[in-house]
Amino acid sequence: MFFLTDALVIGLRAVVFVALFQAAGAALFLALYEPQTAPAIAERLRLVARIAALVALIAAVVHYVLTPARMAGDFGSTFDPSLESLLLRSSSGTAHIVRVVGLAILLLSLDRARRINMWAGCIGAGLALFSFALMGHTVIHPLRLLLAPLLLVHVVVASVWLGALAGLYIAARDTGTASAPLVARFSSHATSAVPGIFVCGVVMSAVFIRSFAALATPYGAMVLGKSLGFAVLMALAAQNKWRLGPRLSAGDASAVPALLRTVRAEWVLIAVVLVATAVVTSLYAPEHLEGSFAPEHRDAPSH
Amino acid sequence: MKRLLGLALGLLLAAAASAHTALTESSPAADASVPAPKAIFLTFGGDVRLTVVSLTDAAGAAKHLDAVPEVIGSKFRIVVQEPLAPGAYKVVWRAVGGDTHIVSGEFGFTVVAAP
Repeated sequence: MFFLTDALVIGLRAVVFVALFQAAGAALFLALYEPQTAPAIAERLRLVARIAALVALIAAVVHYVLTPARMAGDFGSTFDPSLESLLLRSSSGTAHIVRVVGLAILLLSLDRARRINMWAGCIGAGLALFSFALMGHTVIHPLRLLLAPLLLVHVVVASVWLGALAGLYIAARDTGTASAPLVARFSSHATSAVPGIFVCGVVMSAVFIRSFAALATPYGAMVLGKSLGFAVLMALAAQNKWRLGPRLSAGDASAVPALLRTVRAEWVLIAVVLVATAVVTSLYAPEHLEGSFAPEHRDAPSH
Repeated sequence: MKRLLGLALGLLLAAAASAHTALTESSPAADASVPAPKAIFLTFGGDVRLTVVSLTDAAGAAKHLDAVPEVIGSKFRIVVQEPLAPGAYKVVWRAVGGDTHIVSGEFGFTVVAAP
């Protein structure tokens, strides 16, 4: 059964995913590349990150508040004390709190370009991304000590990629071929880092997807879909690195519109993957990983 | 692009209606024909917090049930507070696992007059 509460809460979760990845990624991109970025470009990216952090923070808080409503399938249960207690005592509750704290630190840090703000932004981004490892299979699976670091690498690299796309878009749009050094520098680093997303994803999938039949489940379909999305993303990124980047470096202004198009396409594709992940992981779990209650949470049967 | 996204969302929502269920046993059993039950029994594969149980007749009218117990367990008994006339009924349930993962489902049964 699908209730209106499901649609709203899952929708909020999807917004959190995209906005959080954008905000955290932009902050980390600035920490890594601001010295190579024109101040006006960095300031515009900082504004994008602030807006994304604010949207993510609001959506994360509303998502947390409405989760008891989704548990009961009824908005009237939003402030049900027993369901709120259940949420607060769960790993999901802890993850929500860490996420909100991280996003708040990130938002506050993005208001100016000082060194201390850069470090605070990294801490905030780190906490917000770390929250993904505090819930779900990275908490309950026997191999969680392997899965948690893999997930962290997976989300951090994906987030920096999304943040970088916003930065590269602003730089190319506003400075044209003058953005060539930044594009080239990021592309060279991305060549090494981005495959890490795929490698970590494959290892995690190998732990959860134990048979070909499991690929036919919704969770397995999500894994296949993300793999396909990644293949398309790599094709777009390769075009940037091997065709458009060199043309930009050679001063070819006609490469700028093409670069903007591929960067936009990459951003949309990553956002679609994030939304799909938020929706599917809200509705399904790997079948052998239904979360169980810790002994102290169990009560006597009702009959 | 918009059509593809709409199709994907539709497929996901349709799949959600028949998502993997943690309910392993019920009484009345799904699609069973039984004399009017005095209680509904639900058994899950693991410990859950049951949050919603509703019983409706063929016309969609809700039948009065005891409140869902606010406990965590794998077996639940929900008393039916009114006699059920012969006919088709539907039970809808929703439960929360330990990691707050939500599972839900529904099943039908038919009440027949006692011999």
